[in-house]
Amino acid sequence: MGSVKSLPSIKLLESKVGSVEFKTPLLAASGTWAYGLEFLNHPLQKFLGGFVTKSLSVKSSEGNPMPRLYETESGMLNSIGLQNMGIDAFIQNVEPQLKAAKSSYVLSVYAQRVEDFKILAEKANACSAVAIEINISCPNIDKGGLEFSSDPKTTAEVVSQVKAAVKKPLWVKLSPNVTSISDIAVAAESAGADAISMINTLLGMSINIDSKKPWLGRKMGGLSGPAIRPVAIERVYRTYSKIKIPIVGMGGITSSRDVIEFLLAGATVVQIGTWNFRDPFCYEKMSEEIARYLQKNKFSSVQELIGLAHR
Amino acid sequence: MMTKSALLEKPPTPQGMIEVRIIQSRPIANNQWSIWVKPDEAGAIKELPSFLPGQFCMLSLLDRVDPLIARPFAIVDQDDGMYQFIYRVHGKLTHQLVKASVGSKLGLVGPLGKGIPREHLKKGKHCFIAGGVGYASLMPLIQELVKNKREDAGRIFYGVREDLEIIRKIPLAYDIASDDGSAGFHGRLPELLKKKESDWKDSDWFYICGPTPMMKAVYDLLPPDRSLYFLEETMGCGFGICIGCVVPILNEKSEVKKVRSCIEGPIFKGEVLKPWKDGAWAL
Ligand SMILES: Cc1cc2nc3c(=O)[nH]c(=O)nc-3n(C[C@H](O)[C@H](O)[C@H](O)COP(=O)(O)OP(=O)(O)OC[C@H]3O[C@@H](n4cnc5c(N)ncnc54)[C@H](O)[C@@H]3O)c2cc1C
Ligand SMILES: Cc1cc2nc3c(=O)[nH]c(=O)nc-3n(C[C@H](O)[C@H](O)[C@H](O)COP(=O)(O)O)c2cc1C
Ligand code: FES
Repeated sequence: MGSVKSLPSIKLLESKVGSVEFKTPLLAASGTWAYGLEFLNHPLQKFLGGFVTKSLSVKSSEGNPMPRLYETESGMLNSIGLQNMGIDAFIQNVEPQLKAAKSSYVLSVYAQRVEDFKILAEKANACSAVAIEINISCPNIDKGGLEFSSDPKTTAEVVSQVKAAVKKPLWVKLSPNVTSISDIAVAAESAGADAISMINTLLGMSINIDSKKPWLGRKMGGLSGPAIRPVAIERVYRTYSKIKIPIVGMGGITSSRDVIEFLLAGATVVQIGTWNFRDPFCYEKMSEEIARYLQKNKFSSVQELIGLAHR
Repeated sequence: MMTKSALLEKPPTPQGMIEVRIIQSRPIANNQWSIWVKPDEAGAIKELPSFLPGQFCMLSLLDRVDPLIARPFAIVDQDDGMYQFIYRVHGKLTHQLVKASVGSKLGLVGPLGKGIPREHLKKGKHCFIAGGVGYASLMPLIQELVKNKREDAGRIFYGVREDLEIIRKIPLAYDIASDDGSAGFHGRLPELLKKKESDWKDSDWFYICGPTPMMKAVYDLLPPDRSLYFLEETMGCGFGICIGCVVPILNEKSEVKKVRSCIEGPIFKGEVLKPWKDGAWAL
């Protein structure tokens, strides 16, 4: 593309999650930016606050059978599963490239057992990641995953064990597929979480009426995209008033308006997921539009928007 | 063989989402439409970049979130900074595309994928095996032979459901197989190929594009080291970040491995596709 406009107002977008600083509140979500290598040297980096890696496990994983994607109304079901290269291959092959490029990234990890989460946390300490995000909410695997984040007690257990092992800020990613996400967020906070990332995908299914079988190879999958945004906004709004730690909000963002909505509901920064598949270059336009909104409404920082809908 | 590698080593990284306008849209055969698109005057890009045969673009309906995901379409031709695409009216996006008027805007990301370097067509004999709209993906290769005045070095086998589905005019020697017998050979492509073996046996390279069952059905007839299959896996992004398009192939160590079809392909040599052909799913 042509030259990227240098934008003095990008200063307005500087954001902070606890002690971690980001140049904009716009991060790319786990599983929708691979390991960050595809656009590492692209001008869009100027507007991307950071990205979260695909969730890494102790051993590499091949993920679920095909087909893995099925589009629904303004949404998408995916059953990628946790196909990933494994933490060791990541540290050996990818991490040095991210470090050399001074990439601002959050390491997402996933395990089925608490002991494995601890192993991952210890390995994460050696990485240049600005924070670690534990994915205790994947709907796409048979065991573990969701089970951790569906109960305040197990959530607290895994969070406190990881907290004891990790030397970086700890973000805990929660599932909306539970009775009360805010109770789980409270449990994670008391166990030592530094931020709550929400929401992961909603469990869903679609059936092919001709073959009379589910469309996805794994039958069910996680629903993402604009279809889930109102659900995500409500969960963020509800959780904001119950916890003191920052919320990393996500679910269905496709435009600057959606980002602003999440901030007003109580998110400190946001992650963009499925939309990256359609327009990974959206960060520049979103940044410009948010800066314009701030100027028009006489805000001196994007951080002033956080939680305003609660007044 | 002739050229060192039949495929581009590394696919290009897309530079941005290009807003394009439809400047021509017309039916080209039964249920198949041709569109020409050109960058919007207001955008930074004035001309679409040059492309290699086999490369594709992700197209989306601008300002619409339903359909949410962009769809892959092969670049058929290029002229004056514009691209041509040919699509079959099929599902959600193409049904809306057909209703879009001239002047409507689309989002375009591309060119994407490993294409076939044009020098590859300067030598040797080439055989094109197309099923339905898969013919559109092979058109830039066929055009390249015509441009090089090498019509004699090419041969087309084209399978359709019926006569009206054929995209004319076909610039090389060809044979048609139709399901209903309304054109050419009454039957399927594999039977036609068996019948006409002497017409293609001496080809150096084979290019196969069509529905997956058709591509699998001709697989055993062709030399795997000289056949290039244009896979049409469902794609979520087209440039490597969603891992939704994986196919099982053989790696250098002859192990079954899942690779992303959008960036490792979408064209693969037959010799690595054995696990795909057999429906293997290494878990
Ligand atoms: C590299 C590449 C190049 C391609 N080039 C071309 C080309 O040049 N021309 C061309 O015509 N096509 C091409 N294709 C195929 C094209 O991308 C797909 O057919 C595309 O999905 C069409 O979009 P659609 O929205 O009309 O159909 P979709 O709605 O996406 O439907 C496509 C398929 O998905 C399934 N499906 C999904 N949802 C539904 C539903 N609700 N009901 C029924 N079935 C559903 C079905 O299996 C259906 O056949 C190419 C594909 C690839 C990978
Ligand atoms: C294809 C795909 C893969 C994903 N993989 C992961 C993953 O590995 N780990 C994780 O924590 N979340 C994963 N997610 C969830 C997203 O990070 C995000 O929480 C969710 O998609 C909602 O945001 P969106 O609507 O903007 O996509 C994935 C989502 C998609 C669509
Ligand atoms: S289509 Fe997204 S990785 Fe290939």
